[in-house]
Amino acid sequence: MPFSPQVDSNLQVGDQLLRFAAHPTARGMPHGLEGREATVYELAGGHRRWALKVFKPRYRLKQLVESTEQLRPLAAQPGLLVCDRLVLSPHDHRRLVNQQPDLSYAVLMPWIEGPTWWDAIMTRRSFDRLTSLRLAQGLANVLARMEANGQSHCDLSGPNVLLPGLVHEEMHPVQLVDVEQMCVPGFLEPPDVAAGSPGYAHPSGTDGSWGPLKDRFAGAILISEILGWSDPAVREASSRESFFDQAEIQTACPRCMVIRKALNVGWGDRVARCFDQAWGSPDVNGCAPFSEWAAAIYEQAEQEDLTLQPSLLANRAVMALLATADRFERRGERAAAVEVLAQAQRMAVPDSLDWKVVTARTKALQQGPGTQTRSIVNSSSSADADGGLIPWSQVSSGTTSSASAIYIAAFAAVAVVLALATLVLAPTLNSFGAQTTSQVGATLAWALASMGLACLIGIAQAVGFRKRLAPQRRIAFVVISALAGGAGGLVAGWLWSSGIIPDARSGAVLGALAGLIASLGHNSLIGGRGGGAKWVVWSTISAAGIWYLATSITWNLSYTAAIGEGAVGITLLTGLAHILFLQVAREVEF
Amino acid sequence: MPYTTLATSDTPALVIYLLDVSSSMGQPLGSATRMAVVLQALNSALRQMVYRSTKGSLVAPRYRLAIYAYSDQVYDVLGGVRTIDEVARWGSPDLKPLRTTETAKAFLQAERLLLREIPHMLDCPAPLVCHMTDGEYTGADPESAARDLMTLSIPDGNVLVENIFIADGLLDSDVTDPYAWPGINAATGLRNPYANRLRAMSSRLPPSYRSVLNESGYSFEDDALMMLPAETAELVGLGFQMSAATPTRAFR
Repeated sequence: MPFSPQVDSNLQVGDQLLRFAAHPTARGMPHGLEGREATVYELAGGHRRWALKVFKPRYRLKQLVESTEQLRPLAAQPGLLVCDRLVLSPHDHRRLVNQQPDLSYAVLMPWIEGPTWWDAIMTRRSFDRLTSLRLAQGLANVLARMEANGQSHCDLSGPNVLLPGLVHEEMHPVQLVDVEQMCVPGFLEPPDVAAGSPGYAHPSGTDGSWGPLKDRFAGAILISEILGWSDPAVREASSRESFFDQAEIQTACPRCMVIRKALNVGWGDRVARCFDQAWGSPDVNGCAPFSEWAAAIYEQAEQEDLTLQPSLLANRAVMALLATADRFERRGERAAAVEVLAQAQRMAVPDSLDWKVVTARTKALQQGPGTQTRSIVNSSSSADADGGLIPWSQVSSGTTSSASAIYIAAFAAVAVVLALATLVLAPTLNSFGAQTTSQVGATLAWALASMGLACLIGIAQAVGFRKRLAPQRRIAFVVISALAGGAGGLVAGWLWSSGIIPDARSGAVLGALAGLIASLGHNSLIGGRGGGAKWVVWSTISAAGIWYLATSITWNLSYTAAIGEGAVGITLLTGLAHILFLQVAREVEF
Repeated sequence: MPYTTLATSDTPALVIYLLDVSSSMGQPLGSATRMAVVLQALNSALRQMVYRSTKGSLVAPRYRLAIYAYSDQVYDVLGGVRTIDEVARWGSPDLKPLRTTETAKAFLQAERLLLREIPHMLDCPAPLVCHMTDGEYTGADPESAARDLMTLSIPDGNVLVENIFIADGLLDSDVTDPYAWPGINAATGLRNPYANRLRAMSSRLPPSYRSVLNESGYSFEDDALMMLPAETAELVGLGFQMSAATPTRAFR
């Protein structure tokens, strides 16, 4: 199984006992963050917090040992604290890696406290100008220093920029994480270089190539976002997880307008020019260097306007809505269909073919017979619209109870019919019994009587099992019951008449055989998926016992009384036995 | 290209779970009951979604979930469609085995839900319906309802239907190493007639999903279908992982 730690479970790394910390907002889960290459867990140990980066199989590479050694000296550089790290190589941590193979080449490093830039965007966390300035300057300085050293992070994005400065005033305001792909002079290019994160990737794809300038575009966007964030208009205009959606990058989108205005008005023309340079650059080389960003933050500059480009709605969206309306119409929910078509019409370009189709469909629907009133506008949890859907909280043992009630009713009905028939037809039954025995012999008489009773029990069972039995199989089910009863009666009758078992024990043989044969046949019809063996055993044993009991009690009675009382008793006891079975063997689905 | 829309807070992925809670789910699978194994696998899938939605201390609403448990009736476990951050706050759901297996009713409820949701999710990843069962249905045949679902579409692609079938001896040869297993395709020999029905009700595994799964060390091939013969707890877990494999921003 993949590595899946529990909250508070321990991990011994060298002489350090570490404990997996709980997720701050997900109940009962460890604090984990999954990225493209790995999942990072938060651990506590001693007085410190640690981050354990567990790589996915294809990224568990031996080179991580060497790159860790190369990264470690960079921890002294501002913003690169996570370079102080330890790799759990199979060579140095054999015991741990043998116990948990998924921890091969996992990396242990300091956990940086504080929100990520992504957190700030997600929560629309408001900043004053001073905070924006401190964070943006911190980031620009970190990146400028790295650029001066010929280094780049190579996967800059909101989640990879931590803001410890928002938690601890004394800390460097910005720290970078996810540094395994860093470009540093002397490092080898990693095998899988990230293509850039949505909202921060240069459209040319030139930041997909590993190199010292790779951060320039993503860094420019991040610095612009942080600077602009103190302006409420920027916060309001932001997309959910980054200010820009990737499709908007380097387009004259409304968000570009908003942020550019905020930069120009709030931070001056020189900053705005840095942004413009990145926004218009054909590749990452065309972006302003970070030293220029750092210098420009305080300077004033002029404002430049951008034009809006209305977003084009995909024809496929209109087609999807048409299909959805179609489905509503087929289900007879015309009001809902009209509502969906209205949405499609709003999306379609006026007078386009799509628009005409949608208009025609709407007209046809509206001219049809009266519409139903159900609305689709408020989606999600409206239980009233979900015919037949029951809240899980209302689940009780009702299903079993209702099944039991149906059973009792079915078997009781058969028993009542038998009792009445015995009372009303007593003389006829007596003469029929005598005639049958004399004409066909005792053996066949046993068989016929037991077949008739088994048939009635089969009917009662089929009523109880009706959900598990396809309608066309219900007759077969009853026939199997009857034949099983007949077979049991035939054997038992022969055993009795031949004197091998001359007492009520022959009833037990009858019951056992009938129960065995019937349950085997029923299993094949019901399509049992588990519980079948239990059903056979129970059916055989309970039928043997019930038939023995009934035969014993009625052994010395007249034919009519024996048939009547025996049949009623067997029917009722069989019903009760089935109910008991259902309670005990809950995995059986009938 | 279909199935490439990323699951984000603005364009969350909708995953509908249809979970068979018939009484046979109380039977053992390895050292636990089938139900316990399924709940653990569901919990792992939810955890994966949470991890993929966490980039700091917050869980972004990148996934929207509905969980329907079905037996004689269909039960709404979450009380409607909930975002992953809501589900994460509540913790994993708990279920218990009931009685029969009215599979068709569950698919019909999924269709009802999708019809309500689709008009609001045209920019989102194609929805996924993950159906888990351990045996043949009772009541109406679910195949047509499932096929109907698969014809529903949004611009990212048709609704995906995944089937996780808990049963023994489904394949000609056991899956000894799930990481090396290529998946079930149209030609894979299946010993159980109902498994063949379920295969017909399963979507093809989109390349983007395959890429996410194979990043985690699996070896699904191009023609793999979204069907898991869950003979072991590990394969049940893999089935639920597949349901959480909508590409997110992290996987670009």
